Amino acid sequence: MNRARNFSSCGRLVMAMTVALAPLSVVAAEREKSAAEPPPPSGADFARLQREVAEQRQLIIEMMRVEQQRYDMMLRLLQSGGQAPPAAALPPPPALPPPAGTGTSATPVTGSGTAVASSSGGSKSGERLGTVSGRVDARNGSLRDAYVYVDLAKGGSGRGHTLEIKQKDKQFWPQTAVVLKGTNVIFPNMDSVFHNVFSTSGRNSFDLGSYRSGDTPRSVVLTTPGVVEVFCNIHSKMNANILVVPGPLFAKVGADGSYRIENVPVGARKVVAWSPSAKPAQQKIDVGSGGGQANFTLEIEAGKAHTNKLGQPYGSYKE
Amino acid sequence: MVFSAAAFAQTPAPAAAPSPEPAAGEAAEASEAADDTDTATGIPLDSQTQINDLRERILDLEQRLDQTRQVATLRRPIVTVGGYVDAGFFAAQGTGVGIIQDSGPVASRFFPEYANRYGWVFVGDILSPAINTRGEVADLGEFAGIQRFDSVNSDGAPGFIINEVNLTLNAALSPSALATASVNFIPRSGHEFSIGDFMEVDIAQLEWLPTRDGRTSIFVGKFDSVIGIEYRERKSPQRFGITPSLIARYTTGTPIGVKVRSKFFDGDRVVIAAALTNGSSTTEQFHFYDEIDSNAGKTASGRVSVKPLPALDLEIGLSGEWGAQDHALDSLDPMWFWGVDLLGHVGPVDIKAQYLRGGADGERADRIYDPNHRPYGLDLKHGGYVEVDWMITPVVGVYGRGELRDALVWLGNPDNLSGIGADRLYITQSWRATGGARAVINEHIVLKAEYLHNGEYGRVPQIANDVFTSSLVLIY
Repeated sequence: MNRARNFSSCGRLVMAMTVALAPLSVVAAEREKSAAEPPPPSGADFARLQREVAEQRQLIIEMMRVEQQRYDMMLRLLQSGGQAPPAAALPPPPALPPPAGTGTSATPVTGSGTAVASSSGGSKSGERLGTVSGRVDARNGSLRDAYVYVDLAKGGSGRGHTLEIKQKDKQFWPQTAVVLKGTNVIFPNMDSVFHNVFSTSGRNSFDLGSYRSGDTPRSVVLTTPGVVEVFCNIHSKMNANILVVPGPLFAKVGADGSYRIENVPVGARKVVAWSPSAKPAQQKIDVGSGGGQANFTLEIEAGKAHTNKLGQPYGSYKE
Repeated sequence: MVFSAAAFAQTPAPAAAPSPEPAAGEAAEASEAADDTDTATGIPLDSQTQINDLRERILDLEQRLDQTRQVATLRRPIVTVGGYVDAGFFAAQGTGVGIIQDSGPVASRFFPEYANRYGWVFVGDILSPAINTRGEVADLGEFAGIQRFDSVNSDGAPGFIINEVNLTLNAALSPSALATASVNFIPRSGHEFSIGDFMEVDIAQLEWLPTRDGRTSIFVGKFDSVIGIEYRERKSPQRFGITPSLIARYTTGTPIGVKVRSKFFDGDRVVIAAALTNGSSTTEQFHFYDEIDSNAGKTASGRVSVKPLPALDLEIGLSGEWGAQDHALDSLDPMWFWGVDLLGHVGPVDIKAQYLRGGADGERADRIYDPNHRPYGLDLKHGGYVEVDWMITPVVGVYGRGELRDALVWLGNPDNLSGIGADRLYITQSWRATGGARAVINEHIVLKAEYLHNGEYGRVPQIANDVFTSSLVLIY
């Protein structure tokens, strides 16, 4: 034990000396190079780079924070047997400045039963952009609320945005929504009966517990792109689908089946078509300056029974 | 919990971070402390390294999150335990008995035509002074020569009561199969050194959903009936008020057999249910219930419901039942019911209505009956109710119910040749007005209070047997 402690002390001493000497060695190295290299970047360039790096770090740290919150929530859920604290007990989602090149917009509702919370897409100056367009058709039925998005790892963030999905007349309103990752989705209960909102959709799983009209609405931050199926543990017919998209590059499919997504960075891109009533489909396409095209045929799926949050079938006439 | 080697090597300070407790903020501070220099090499950490380090930690967190979720899924219980305690206070008018004996000189009787044909003639409704959701009455009365299990037996005295302690077990045998057992414990007065508490298994079923869409259920065991709509709220946590309707005795029993229910079209606009059971859908306390059959004939029952207008939350149902009479030794005499029902929701207001008719021949004149298996006769001319439930606020609700029951129930046949005689006759021409309020304190505590005014009409005299009752339902 003592040996380990001594070793640790020695390690710290070496570490401290290294820290102290390191700048000197860097200065020396820089002097050797300076004669042969072009003029160094200006102080303004350094400042800008440092600022960008700091922003990136802050972004990553905030991502970690959100993940940590989710992790803590999962632990609390495990410990409390599935009863989640009210939203007020959770820290609010961090309000970050939007990533470079993106702006934010309000939360428009497009059509009945569908809501979209988005950040309007933009481009970094000098980045080559194209437009992806095409059609989405259905096999074995008709499509309801279909969307197409570009699965781009670096995209916008919904942090600071809130989407409201009401529980009214034992239904969710809207029943379909598209949000950017990081969006806070709040579920006010307008009914006089209790509802118990939950999802078992992978990393976006959550359990908001039971509350009713007049209680503080509970909410969840959806951080992971993908489809989130939302149910009520008491009323089996209550169902909403939320598509969490990685960035602002998405579009709703029009009534004629066409769609158009602008400002897509050129290059090989994965394009995904989704509808709550169909099996999602994806394509990899090359987006050039002239744009790209992706056509989809989605297979309509028959409704599938879901279980409650304990993985059990709903009993008869519990609602 | 697993951490990547890279993260461990590059970040000495948080190396001991497997505990989920340290917040990301702390990790960030630790990162700041070792901001500029890699302790192993002495080379300044560039920002990219720090970013990579943070990414590694995010990956670690994601991995831990996935593992936690996996653990949570695996630890999900197969069996869940629920139930409730229903405690109350009640006070009944008079002796709390719902019937009086029509006796005395023939000329002064209410129904002199039955005077010399039945041993006992009762008027009124024996189950009308109900005090709880079980349908137990304040008192069954003391009548010479008639033995009944008078579970409350209050003699008209007000009192506290534990109406029921329920234990419900649900077991998910598979994602499409759910086994349910519901057991009621009913603490009651003992007698002659014996404990009066009893136990009742009211549900013991397997519900199997064979189709992918889960819209068809097949039930095997002891299950809720398919007649009408009141069975859906026969238990205290589900029922808006406290007491059952006057026709609940015919529709809210739990027979044993098989049942199928299927939902069709969007919004379940059509629902069809059918059951084949040992006996009828009457309640176990009532004359007709036969849990284990004493005859080979089974009872078939069914219900069809439609929601005629998608925009309107309105369900209209037609249901019926037909089968060998309960308690009979053979299947020659049928018992039947048919009825219509309506269920509507307008905002916070629920409207429920049901109408029912039914009949059973009872003993026939030309047959010999075993004295221990005598079938009751029934002529339910009219029975029905209309109920309006209104949740004024999410906490407080009020309700009102109006109903009537016009029926004859008898045991024995005055014309029977076997000589065992005509035992008893109940003549009911009753109406009832019920009003009450409920307070939903939270999802586990519901408090209810209601007043029942029992009235009689026709030749049946007014019987003073109004009831005030209350119920505290603790749901767990």
